[in-house]
Amino acid sequence: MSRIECKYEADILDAVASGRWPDRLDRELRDHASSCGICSEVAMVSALYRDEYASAMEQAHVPSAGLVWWKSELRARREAVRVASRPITLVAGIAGTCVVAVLVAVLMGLSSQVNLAAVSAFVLSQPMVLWLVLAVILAVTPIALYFVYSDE
Amino acid sequence: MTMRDITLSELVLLRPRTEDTDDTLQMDQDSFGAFYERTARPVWAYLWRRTGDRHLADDLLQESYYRFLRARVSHESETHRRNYLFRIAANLVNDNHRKHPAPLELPDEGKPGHPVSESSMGLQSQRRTDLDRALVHLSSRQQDALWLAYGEGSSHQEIADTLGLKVGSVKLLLFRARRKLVKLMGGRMVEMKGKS
Repeated sequence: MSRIECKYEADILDAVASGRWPDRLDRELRDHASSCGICSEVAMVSALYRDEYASAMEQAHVPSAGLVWWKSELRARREAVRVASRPITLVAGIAGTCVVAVLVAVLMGLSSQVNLAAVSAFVLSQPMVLWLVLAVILAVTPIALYFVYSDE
Repeated sequence: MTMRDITLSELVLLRPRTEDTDDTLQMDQDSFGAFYERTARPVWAYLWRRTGDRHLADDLLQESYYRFLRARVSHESETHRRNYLFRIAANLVNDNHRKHPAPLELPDEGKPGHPVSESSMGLQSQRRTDLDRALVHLSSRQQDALWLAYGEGSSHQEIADTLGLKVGSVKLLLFRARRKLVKLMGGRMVEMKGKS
């Protein structure tokens, strides 16, 4: 199996980091690097990345710690509110479903007892009653919705 | 019955229950400020070089610190804490690459999407273009390992902690990544060797 590391790798990295690579390298290390495939690759790649890193650090203009903290805190609070309100939303959904189910059951029960043909005939003969009922619903609905969805 | 003064430690125990709820950050602001000053620029540099997008790097930086602050992890040392932060950043970069895969070939310099278009500096710019073109053929993990080892100067153990690998795997990963990079850059690498 071929080698994947060399005991001189750390020395080569040190030489690149301290700027001794390739001109101010001591003779022994230079001789080794010229004959060792691993060390020559390490030297080339680390020299390349050293410049890359320096250049990227020059470009790095980061926001202040306070701003990052504040944004994180705000998001954490929103997240907490969202998690806390999840059961409330669930209960409201269940309650709504129950109300609809009860209404449907009541209407079905009434429809079997009431003569729908007579009711229809009455409504058609007295259209004012129908308009009055619709007006009451239109007036009451926004008020009911306001009380349901207002925080206080 | 006698009354006694409440001690500070007892007072701390009586703090509101809300502090234990999920909206808390796992560090105080002063400690965070000091840690951020030491780590923000290297993390941003890593994010920028891995994504090639300054704005995305800004967003991922915020996200990295948010996740770091929310994580219920105890850190035994500053190095461990730093490695953990880089691990979060690396995962975010890799998630982003999975959602928006990078094209196999980079756009030409000056065209939208090219990472060096924002900073043109002659030879250095050309070198970076060559490196970027070579890096798209390396896996995310290989790119991470190379940056951490030769950019950040992290040890094999630190890279292993950051990438969630064994030290032996890191050595092999670096060996293969180096070899591939040198092969991909070919003669240009030798040219650089002479100029460096």
